[in-house]
Amino acid sequence: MKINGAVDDRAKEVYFLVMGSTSAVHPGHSGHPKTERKPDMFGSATNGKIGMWIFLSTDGLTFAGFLLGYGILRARNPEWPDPSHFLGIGLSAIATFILICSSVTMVLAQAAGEEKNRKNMLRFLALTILGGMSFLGIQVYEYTHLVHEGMIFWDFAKGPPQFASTFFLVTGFHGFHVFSGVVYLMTIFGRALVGKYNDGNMNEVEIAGLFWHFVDLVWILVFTFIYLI
Amino acid sequence: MSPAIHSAEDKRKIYWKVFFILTALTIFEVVIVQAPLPKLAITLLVVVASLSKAFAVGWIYMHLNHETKGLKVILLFPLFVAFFYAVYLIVDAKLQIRRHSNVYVGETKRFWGQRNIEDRQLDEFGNTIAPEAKKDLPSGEHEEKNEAHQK
Repeated sequence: MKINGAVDDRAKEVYFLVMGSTSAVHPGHSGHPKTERKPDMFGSATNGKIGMWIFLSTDGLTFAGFLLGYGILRARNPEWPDPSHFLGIGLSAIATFILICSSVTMVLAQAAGEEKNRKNMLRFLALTILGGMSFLGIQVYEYTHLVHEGMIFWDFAKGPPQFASTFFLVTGFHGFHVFSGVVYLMTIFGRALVGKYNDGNMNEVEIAGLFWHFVDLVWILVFTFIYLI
Repeated sequence: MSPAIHSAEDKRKIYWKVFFILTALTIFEVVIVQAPLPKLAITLLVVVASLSKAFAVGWIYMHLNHETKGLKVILLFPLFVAFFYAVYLIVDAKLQIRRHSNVYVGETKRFWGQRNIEDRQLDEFGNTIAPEAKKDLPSGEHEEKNEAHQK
């Protein structure tokens, strides 16, 4: 990409700030003193990684919106029940622990891949997928029980229906993230099996890992706000 | 500032350390909600614990510590704003309910539960009239309303 002298200085400044490179531009050409090299804004982060980070930031805002709505509905309703009466805290604590474990196996898979230890990488990736699947299994079990107790998306037999709605909205949205994460990790596992990451370039695995850790991070907050408080 | 470069073994040690911290904080949270403490203290402790857990995952597992300052600011600033916005709105809702508790309490289940919403009565400001206030109405009017509803 070449920027000629007709582009105004502000646009050039933004270009330097984002791209951090003057290779296509000759500072002497326009003769402006502001065209010196600026430090690269994103360092060594690849485009895919920046994209995933920005997606995760906006996705975090979506979760923030849901939790905010939940908080306001709850704060305005003095008859809101204590969640521990209706939700199984022990079971969801186990689910939290499983997600934390799968986060560790994900970083270990990445570390193994960087050392070109193919066997460990595949093993840890498989364990991560297994963790995600067991989490989904626990959630299905939990939902089945709750529905049998009269808690459905738009009504709740033993309290305000908003209790049920917010619960299913937030945990369901998160569960869908876990499901997508499992599918995503399976794709990565397939590519690893074929030998795409044998050269130690773990960029794609790292991006998938970002998504997976984000799912874990959100569940940590959801567990606290929906189940414990 | 570029972060210090760790060997592979050091990295693994840090990952496991974070794992144990996360597990310990989860157990702490589950135990503390059953402790005989005031509700506000429990809430604050649990929120601080969970936010530090989330921070540990983001900082170490997602390698946010390896990113540049610019990316960190872009990612974290909106989330900080969202957090303080949420705190403000939720505390405000809580305080409003406390201020108008004479209006809402007793009627909330029907009002927020959307059950029998058509029989709630509104005052001139559009607020729901509490059941105690309803007693002041002439009894005849009350019955008429009920009959009309049954039909």
